Amino acid sequence: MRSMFLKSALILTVVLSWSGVPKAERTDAANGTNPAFKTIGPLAFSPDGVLFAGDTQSAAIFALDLGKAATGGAPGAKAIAAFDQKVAALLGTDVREIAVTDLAVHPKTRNAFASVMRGQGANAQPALLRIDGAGKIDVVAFGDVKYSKVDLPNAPAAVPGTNNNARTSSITDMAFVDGRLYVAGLSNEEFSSKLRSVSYPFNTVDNGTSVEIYHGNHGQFETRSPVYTFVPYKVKGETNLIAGYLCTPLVKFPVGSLKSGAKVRGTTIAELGNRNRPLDMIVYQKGGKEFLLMSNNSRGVMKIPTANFGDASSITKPVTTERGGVGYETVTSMRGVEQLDLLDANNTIVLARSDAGVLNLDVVALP
Amino acid sequence: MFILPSKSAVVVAALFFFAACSSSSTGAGTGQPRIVLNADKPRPTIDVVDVPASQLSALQGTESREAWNAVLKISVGPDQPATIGTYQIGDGRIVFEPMFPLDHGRQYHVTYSPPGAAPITSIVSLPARNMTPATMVTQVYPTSEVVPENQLRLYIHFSAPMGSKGGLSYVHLFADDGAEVVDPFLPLDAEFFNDDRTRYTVFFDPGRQKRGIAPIADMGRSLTAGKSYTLVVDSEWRDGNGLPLTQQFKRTFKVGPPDEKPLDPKTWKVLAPAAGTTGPLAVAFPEPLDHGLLLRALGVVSPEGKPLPGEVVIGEQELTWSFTPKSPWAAGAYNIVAFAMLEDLAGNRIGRAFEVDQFDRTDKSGEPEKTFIAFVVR
Repeated sequence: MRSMFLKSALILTVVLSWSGVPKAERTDAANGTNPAFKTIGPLAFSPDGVLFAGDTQSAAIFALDLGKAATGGAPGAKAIAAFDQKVAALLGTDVREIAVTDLAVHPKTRNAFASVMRGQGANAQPALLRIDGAGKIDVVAFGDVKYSKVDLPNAPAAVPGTNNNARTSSITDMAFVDGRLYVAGLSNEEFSSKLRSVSYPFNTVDNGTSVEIYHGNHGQFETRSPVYTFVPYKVKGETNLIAGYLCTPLVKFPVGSLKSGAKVRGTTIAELGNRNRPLDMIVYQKGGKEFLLMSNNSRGVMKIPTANFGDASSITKPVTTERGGVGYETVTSMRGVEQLDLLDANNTIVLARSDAGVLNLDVVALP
Repeated sequence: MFILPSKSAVVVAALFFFAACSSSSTGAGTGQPRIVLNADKPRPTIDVVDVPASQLSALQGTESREAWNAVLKISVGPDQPATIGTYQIGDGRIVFEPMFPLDHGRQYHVTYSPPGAAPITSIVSLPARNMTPATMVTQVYPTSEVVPENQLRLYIHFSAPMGSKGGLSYVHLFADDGAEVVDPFLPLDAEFFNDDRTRYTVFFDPGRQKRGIAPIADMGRSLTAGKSYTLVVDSEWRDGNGLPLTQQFKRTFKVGPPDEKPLDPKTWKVLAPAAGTTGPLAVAFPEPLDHGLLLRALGVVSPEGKPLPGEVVIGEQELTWSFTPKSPWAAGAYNIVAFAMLEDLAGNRIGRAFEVDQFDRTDKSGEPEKTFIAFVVR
């Protein structure tokens, strides 16, 4: 809501080490067939259908050439009630053994792909599912899939050779923009995020880029704050990353400004209110206007017009009202959304949990 | 279970035949096809054995998943979709290899519908594993009796690997009046286990830890100075075998004022070891530091500047850190090295509080900044 705008620079500081990347920050790429995931989590497609799949336990990203697995299904994706139960049956187990970790739509076939973990602990197994326009669920046989892989480096330990490094990194979101894959991650120790970018193909990768995110809190305090989810979006012709992070605001910063040695100050364009943790975001058009659709953990889905993203004033003073900055509306008809992606020009596809705890795959007209 | 007299020992587990349709007279030794669980392989299969050659011949050329499901359907329930796997014909049998290993203790419903003959139905299962809970919470860090109001995280340690699903719904915080604190922790679907899933990190909600933003203004901090709280970890949290914990875990602690000061190594007390020994270097801090980061972010470098291998021990209430080298100390000027990520319980770092009032101190290098604290071995 405009009246709640507070002026100037709530800023995000992005520190880059684009060149002179220290050894610990270097990445390693590998190629082969039959990708060996420890876990399979976030998914993102490139425009030509390369599927990037994050292995959160290995802190690695696989780029998958799906080959035959990408073809042959009915175009599109169809809603499937009790999706988790059907997936459990297909994989020969109980629904309590199933965790659906992400959902992404193939840019050409519009089939939906879901990443799933089956089982518990050391026996847990990854699975990649394809849902086609007839509602058929296929399991991608990894043995037929070519891949290249890039490892995200772990932070070093001060004492060499010890087993004391219990640090792990989780990959929370990925997006492919203009030939580079951007990856947001969270550590189980430091409360800060690494926003990395690597070029693709990985085998020509320039070791990736580590981007530390800081959050200038209302022009007064600087705090470390992890980016959790983000989406590429053009603001006045310039590609930006619109990032949701864990201090509740929504921030934009231009991708083009992420250059060697640059110190980029992003702009916070909205505070989303208490208990809002952004989980997933898409950008879509409707009626000649563009909107950001964002699922979060407590408020259902929020629809945010993007028209003012370019001109929105930054929030710089403490927000005492529940929300601040660019306005939004809550789409009350979309409840329990855990994953979402843009299915086509008119629809979004979501994984939504019912009040009874059942996970449904729904196709919902864009609000 | 019994062993069948076949070439490869075939184990039949829980063999049941239902009087479905007209197939009520099948069984071992009857010469008719039988459904068996073949556990004689690294990945057990479900086989139909003693299949007449005429049936096998009729099934040659069956390819699609749907076509095979119509012939041999394996499912986790009678009304459930077919479980996915591969089918092979040969040696008088049809072999179904599931794409994912069969679960122990789970009943798989099998229906063999041969062409031109009555269907045969059976239920097979691998023996259930030990269902006695054995995993417990062994420790929760910090262990200090008093934590700051802006405490940043907790580490929950387990005696064995935990299951795949995150456990925040099993972690509760109760105020001293018995009321449960609403939403004290950061609700995320990301994984915060260590690599072997024996340590789980819980972050307090940063929106309620930082000054001047909406959640803390509206809801206050998760913890309030002067009060006591009890952390509870439910026993229903499942371990890597899918079993609950042996018991509920409880820990009561007090809360002190917020800690918004950066760490200052000048306040650390360093007790240097003697040359020629492998005695520990001991460091005492004026306040507890973060347990996970203490294990990783502190080390020792030799007079030549090389990191020394050795063993680290964290003392009670995370107030001390000691380092025992692999090789005896030589006389000389050493340094303790502290990586920039070292933090206290509230996330404050060396020379830099969790919240600072300027941007100019932001790290410009991807390499961790290091602080050196000199000590001399004599």
